Parts: sequence; structure tokens; C-alpha cells
Amino acid sequence: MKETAKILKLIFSDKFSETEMLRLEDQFWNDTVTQFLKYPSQSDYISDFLKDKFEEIRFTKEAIHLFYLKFIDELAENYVLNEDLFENELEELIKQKDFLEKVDYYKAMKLAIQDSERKRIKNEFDIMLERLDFEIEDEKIEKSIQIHSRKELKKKFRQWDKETDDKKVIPLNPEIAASKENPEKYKSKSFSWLKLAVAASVVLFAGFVVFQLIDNKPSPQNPQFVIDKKDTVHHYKKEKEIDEPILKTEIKLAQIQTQSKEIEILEPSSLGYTGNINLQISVNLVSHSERIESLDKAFQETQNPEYQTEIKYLKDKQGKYIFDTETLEIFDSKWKQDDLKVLKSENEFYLYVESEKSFYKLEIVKSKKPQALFKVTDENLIETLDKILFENE
Amino acid sequence: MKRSQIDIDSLASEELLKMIREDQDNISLVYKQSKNYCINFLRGKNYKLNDEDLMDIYQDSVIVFYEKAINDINFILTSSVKTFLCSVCNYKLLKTVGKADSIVRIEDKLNFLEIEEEDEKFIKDNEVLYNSLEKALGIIKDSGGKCYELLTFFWYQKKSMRELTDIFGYTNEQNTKNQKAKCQKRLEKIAFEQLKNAN
Repeated sequence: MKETAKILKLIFSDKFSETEMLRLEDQFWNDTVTQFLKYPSQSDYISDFLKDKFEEIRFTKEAIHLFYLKFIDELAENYVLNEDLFENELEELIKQKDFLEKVDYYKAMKLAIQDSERKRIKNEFDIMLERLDFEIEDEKIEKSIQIHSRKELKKKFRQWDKETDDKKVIPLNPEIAASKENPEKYKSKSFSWLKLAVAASVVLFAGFVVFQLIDNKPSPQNPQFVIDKKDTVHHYKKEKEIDEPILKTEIKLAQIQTQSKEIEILEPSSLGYTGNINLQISVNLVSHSERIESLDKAFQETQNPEYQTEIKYLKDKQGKYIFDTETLEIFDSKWKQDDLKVLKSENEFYLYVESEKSFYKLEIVKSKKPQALFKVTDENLIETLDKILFENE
Repeated sequence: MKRSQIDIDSLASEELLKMIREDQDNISLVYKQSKNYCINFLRGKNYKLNDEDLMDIYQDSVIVFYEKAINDINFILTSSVKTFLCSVCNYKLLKTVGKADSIVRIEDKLNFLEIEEEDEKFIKDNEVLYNSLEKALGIIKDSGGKCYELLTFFWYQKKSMRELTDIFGYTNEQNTKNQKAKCQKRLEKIAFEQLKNAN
């Protein structure tokens, strides 16, 4: 098969299945090349010829033209790399104006690259020699990998901790709900509740012991009252009576849903050194919608204002985010995980939403207070961020 | 033994060329170990050029040798690398002082150097396009990223798609090809902007 035919076959193999390609013999490709080299005069013939072979109508004039452009582009690139490659077809090729233009372009590109590299090499002769002897001991490499792995593991622990926290049912008490914003306050409150609980247990236990000692049993006729040995009437509340108000609030509340994914923070690549390891960030998409719905239902049934307090607290977070360079939490957004990328440029962080082709600035807020997302509108900054995306593709 | 201490004279031609093809940094061994020999050779020609000019000629000659090594798979040194470099230095020296024509016929093995003259003519004829591409390349280089390296490895060091896939850690050759195409597209776009600004 001619070299040109091999190139054409490669272009087609990008578009058609292996089965379709296998059916076609070398002669077919050689003939097609001959037709393509007469383009555009043979475009109708090429179209019919290909339709016939591929049994499908995918060869509009525009499609043929695109194939032709791609073919000429590949031929020109290969020709500039090796001028002896198309010796037999060169006569036909140089009749193609498109080919000659492309050859000039690639040749100019090759020479620009060549000159740039020559200058670089001339400046780097001494550094190259130093680089030859530069070695990192295996031990040091092992140690740094170990440290890196530990850091990664710690990150995972933090992520798991976060997931566990999110899966907890948010308490009805608004003070506890607000505790996420003020952990110190929460700590002291929960401790005082603990003390009360312990004290209550001690009293109950003591009461139970005394109760057992005096062998008092409730009267079967009137189970609400018991009479001790001194004939003192004691109130005895049935368990059910205590439970009644709680029963109403025992509506099953939906949990907060969190989707987590570890992604790399995209940064400008440093001189293309391929061994660079980007920092990781955990992106958590937190959805409160089911929780809010269940809280709303619970409020309708019970009219307990604490449900509303929590609804308000959760609704305030909607569309906002919390960011601390290791974790990004986005609340109630319509975005999907695969849609999101985090970029770092000049120590600032940005969120990229693929489906919207938009960037959002991410502020690091130590108070963990959810922040509103603001779109980046600065054209220069968008261009810089686009470049980072491109470099990391 | 440290790599910088390898004696190039002790290596067979194939061995030396293989080392250079595998790692560009190895050309520094040739550069370092042939420098005094070649500079003294140039000084001996008495063309009243200063040391800076002679160094320039020497460095250009080492680059000629490097490019021959990476571009011509059939290239074999029939003499020592120092002798080869001196031949190139001599040609470049005569070219610098305007007497290159007298040696072209004598030094058949240096015929490939004529290509450089063709290239120079091409650049002159396509000056605007070349300048815009040169500027665009500089922009891509300064902005960092893999594009500059990818393009130079492909166009200058003549690395195959297979080699590029290994070097850059892409998943397959098709992916590498796509990345290269993207980089070329980016270069073209910037060059076009440069071209527009120039007009």
C-alpha cells in the first residue's frame, strides 16, 4: 500500500468500525487516494465511490471536504518530517495548493521549534552536565512517597469523618443545629446535658433500689397510684403518658445526602515536567432537599417550630459553599460531580463548571460559614483559567 | 562512576549515538570533552575572530552533531567525535568569514549542512509566518505546561508517538496524538493572533 493510502486509512479508521475497515483491501485505499489527489474535481465520484463501499450515507459533500482537509494536513505534516516519504506521489501532491500551503506552514513551525530548541540547548550545556549526575537516593524517594501517602490517608480520614457527620440526623434543637457554626458553644452545651443525664440516671437508679427495698407494687385497681408503707400517695405516671408528645414528633426524617469525590486541583504545569503531583481536594455535593421535605411534613403534622428553625437553617445554605483548600462543600446545587473542576492560580482557587463553561471564585473562610458563589467575569482571568484547563487536559 | 565522567573517546560510535538519542543531556559530555580541542583548532586557523565568536561556532557545531544524531538513524561516526566536530567547526568558520564555497566540494560528508542554507532561505521567504510562529512558540513556552515539550519532542527530537506516550504518561498513542493536535491548534491560534497584530 502507498504511504499516502496508509495515512488515509488511518483517518478513516478514526471514524469507522474495525469490521467496516477490515472489509476493505489495499487496492481500495490506493484508488481512494488517487481520487482524493484530484479533489475537488472528483468530489461527486468520491462520494458515490465511498457510499458504495461503506453501505451507509455518511458522505455528504461537507463530510468529503473535511476528510480531504484532514488528509492533506496529515500528508503535509508527514512530508515535512520526512521529505522522502511520498517520492512516487509527489508529482501529484505538489499540484495541490492546499498541500503546498500546509507544507509551508509546518515547515515554518518546524524551523521555529528548531531555532527555539537550539537556543535553549546552547544555554543549557552546563546545566545538562550537572543534570547527568543528579540523582535522588532511593531511600529519599521512598521516604517522600511514604510522607505523601500518609498525608493522603489523613485526608481520607477527614473525609470519612465528614461523611459520618453529614449522615447524622440533624437534631431538632436549633441550638444543636447551629452547633456546626459554633463548635465551642456546642461542646459546653452537650457537656451540661451529659451531666444532667448522668444525674438523672443516678436518681432513677437510687429510686429503683429504694423502690425494690420497700417492696412496693402498684395497686392493680388503680395503677396510677402506689401506696407506701407510710400510706403516702405517690404519683406513678404510665410510660405511655410520657411518650405521648414524643410519638407525634417521631416522624422519620430523611437524612442529608452527600456525594463525595476526590479530585486533583488543577494548576499551571511547571515547564511540563510530567512527574508533577497535583494536590487533591474532596468535593462534597450536599443535598438537603429530602431532609427539608421531611422536616416540612413533620411541621405540618406537629406544628413544632423547631422543625421550621431547621428548615430555615438548611435553606440558608442552599446554593452556597464552604471551602478550606482540602474540602469543598457545595449545598443543593444542580451540578453533577463530573461537571466540576477546582483550579488554583496565583494562590487563588476557582471552581469550574463544565456544563456552564463558567468559573466561580472560591474564598477560604475559616469560620465555616457558607458563602455565596460568584461567577468570574474578568476576561483576562478567564483566559488564564482556560489555559490551566487546557494544560491539564 | 558518575555519568558526567564517562569518557566519550572510549565509546563506540553506535554507543555514543544511542546515548545521545536516548537522553539529550548526554550531548553535554561531547560538548564539555571536545571544547578545548575544537576551540584550539579554530584559534589555529588565525581568522582573527574573538573567543565569543569562536565559542558560538563551536556551540553551533555541537548542535549540528546532535541534530545529525537524532535525525539520521543511519549516521555513523567514521572518525572520532572531536574530528567530526572540527570538520563542522571548519565549515562554520569559513562560512562566517565568507569562504564556505571553497570547502563544500572537499567535505562531502558535510553535504547535509547545505540544508541549513535552504532553511535560511525558506525563513527569509516566509518571514512573517515564521516570526508569528516563533512568537507564538515563545508564548506557549513561557506559559509553562506540556505543550512546548510535547511539540519539541515530536518536531525536534523526532520522538515517535509510542515514545511520547511513555514519556508523558498518556494512556495510549491515540490520546498522545490528540494532545499533540490540540497543542498544534493552540500554537496556530496564537500565531494567527500574532499575524493579525503584525498587520
